[in-house]
Amino acid sequence: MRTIAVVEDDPSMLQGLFRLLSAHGFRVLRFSSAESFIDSVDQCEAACLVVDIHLGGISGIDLKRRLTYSGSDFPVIFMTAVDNEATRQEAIDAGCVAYLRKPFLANLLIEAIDRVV
Amino acid sequence: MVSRVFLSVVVLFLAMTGEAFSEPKRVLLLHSFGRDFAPWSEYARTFREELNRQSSDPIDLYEASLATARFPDEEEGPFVEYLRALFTKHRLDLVVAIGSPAVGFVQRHRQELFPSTPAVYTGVEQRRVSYAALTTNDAVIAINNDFAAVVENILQVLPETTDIIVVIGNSPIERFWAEQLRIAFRPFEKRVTFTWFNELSFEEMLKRAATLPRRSAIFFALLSVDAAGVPHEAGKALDRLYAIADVPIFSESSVFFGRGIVGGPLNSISALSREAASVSVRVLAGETPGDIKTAPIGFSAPKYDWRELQRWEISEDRLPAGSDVDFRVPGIWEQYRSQVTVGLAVLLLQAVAISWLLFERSRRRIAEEEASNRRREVVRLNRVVTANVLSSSIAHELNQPLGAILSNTEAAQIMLKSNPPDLAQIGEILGDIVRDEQRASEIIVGLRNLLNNRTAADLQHFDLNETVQEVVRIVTPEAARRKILLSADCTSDALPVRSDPIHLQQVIINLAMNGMDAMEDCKEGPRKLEIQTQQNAESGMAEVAVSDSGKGIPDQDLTSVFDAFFTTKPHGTGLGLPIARTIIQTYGGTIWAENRNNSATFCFKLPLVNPESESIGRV
Repeated sequence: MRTIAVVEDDPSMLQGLFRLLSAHGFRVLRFSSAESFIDSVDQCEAACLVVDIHLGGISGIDLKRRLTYSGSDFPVIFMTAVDNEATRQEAIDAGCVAYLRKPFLANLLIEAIDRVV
Repeated sequence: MVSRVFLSVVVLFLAMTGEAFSEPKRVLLLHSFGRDFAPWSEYARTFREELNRQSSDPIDLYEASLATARFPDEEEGPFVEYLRALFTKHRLDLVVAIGSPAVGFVQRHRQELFPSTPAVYTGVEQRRVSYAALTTNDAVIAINNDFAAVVENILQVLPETTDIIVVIGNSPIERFWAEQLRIAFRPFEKRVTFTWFNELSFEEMLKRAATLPRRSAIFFALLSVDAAGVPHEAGKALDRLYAIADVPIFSESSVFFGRGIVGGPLNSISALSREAASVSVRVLAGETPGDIKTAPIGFSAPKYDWRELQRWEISEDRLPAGSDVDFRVPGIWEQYRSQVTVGLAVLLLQAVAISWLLFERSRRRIAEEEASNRRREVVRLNRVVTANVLSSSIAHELNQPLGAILSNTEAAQIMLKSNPPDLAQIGEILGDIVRDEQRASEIIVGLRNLLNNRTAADLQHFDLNETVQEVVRIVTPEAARRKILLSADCTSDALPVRSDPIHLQQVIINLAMNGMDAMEDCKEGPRKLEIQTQQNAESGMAEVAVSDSGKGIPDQDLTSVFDAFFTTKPHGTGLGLPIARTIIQTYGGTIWAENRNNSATFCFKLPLVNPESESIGRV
């Protein structure tokens, strides 16, 4: 079973994604902040990381940069509720499989995951 | 007292000198009917005045009345005796007879009474003087009454007149004049009907005069003795007639002018008496009376009583050229011209002032309305700008629940396809969807409030603490985005205020955004924004303080930050704080800035209100 990690500080959104991905047959690891993900990154078996850009503490983009810096090449799918050109560019520069604007249709997410998993 | 003594001395001295240099001239004034019988009384009065005025010698005046004119049957003998007794010792210098009965008497008894005394006959119509019987010792100053002119005058001023009633008595002299009048009136008989009252008693005359038809006129000729043999003073008779008759009254005698007659050509008493006095003085000075010839004095220029003209609606256009109009009652305008002018001017000025004030008032109201509209629009634009600044935060807030809803919905769709579907799970999902949907709605409502124009109808009573909480909800995402620690420290006391909650929300958002902007460049230390509320029960105010942890405001700028276009931000409008101040002042509050611990704090206070009380403000 493919495992997906979701980092999202909005509990409602996190719950929704969990249900959606579970319904699609994924195993879902939920994190409410970048920090909590980093704490357990070593044990993480996730094949793909779905992360919100605007997190309370370390942002999603910073998390990706840190992962890259520490030599991890987790495929990352960015989500954001605030779409602007600067953020999008930043996300692409940091490296990502997909950049999704909330709200997004499930098949966009699933297709992105399917590309990497 | 002194002056009176002095006056007496002067009078005495004058009397003595008069006595010493010239004997007083003894003059007998002989009246026809009596001293006070009009119209002769008037001749006599003016003659006395004129004589005294014109004579340089003192005049010793005796007066006597011919009773026989009043009582025709009376014997003249006793009166002749009386006069003879009176004037045998005192030689007379002049006899003046007034009126034709007196003239006739003097002429008849001249030889026995005053054979050598000069005589002046006046107050008499020329037709009553027997010129043939005059001696060289007699002078006549007569009048000439043109009775036709009297009727012509009536028909001139009242052309519609059909009846003329002639009031005249029945004494011998009146009978004579009645005859003269008939002759003079004959040419008019085709045009008007003449009614003669000479055979009536005066009471009878009054009775008939009271019921005269319209278009009648009374000619008051003379009334000395009526047909019943009752003597009348003509002036008083005219007064009674005037009081009872409802038709215009005419007379040729100037004596009656002003006593109710309309007027017209009148014989002139003043001219007659002046002339008679002048002749008398000449005679007293030694001139031979027979040598002094004077032409009979005719009517003077027509004269009318304005009051009667008004009463009978006689237009002044109808009056003959050169007429005088006396007794004009000045209208309000003539009488109070200056007062009326001033009054009207004051009224006019007042009216102008009032209209101007009304005009100014409406202009002011329009201007106020316009200013109010502008202010409202600026305030709204400020909210739009604020909303714009907050838009990414708001979008984030809105997209979060929308994203959750979409994910949940699609998860549920998949679950429904499984067999059997996990209905408990789906129910949970639907519950979450409802909750997220509400969350999104709230944000949209809040945003709409922020962007909408506000009206006075949006005034509400509410707790200021709620507004602060609302602002915290709106600004939190933005603070989070900027990594600013936002905290609210609200008092547990209620802060009831009355205003448009959106306006206060706007003020607090403005202050919060300003605070966050102020900390933009602060690298060191935690960035904190704190909103505090408290109740000041003593002053009855609710206070809100928004404090940041920035560098503070230079002391000299603490006031000017509220001025329009004062801004330190590259993209600021410089309108946020002035607008905040406008709003706060509108609701009766004050707003100020201060530095606390080297950082800026913006405070405002608003009056606490009893929810029942009313205080209206408009933005």
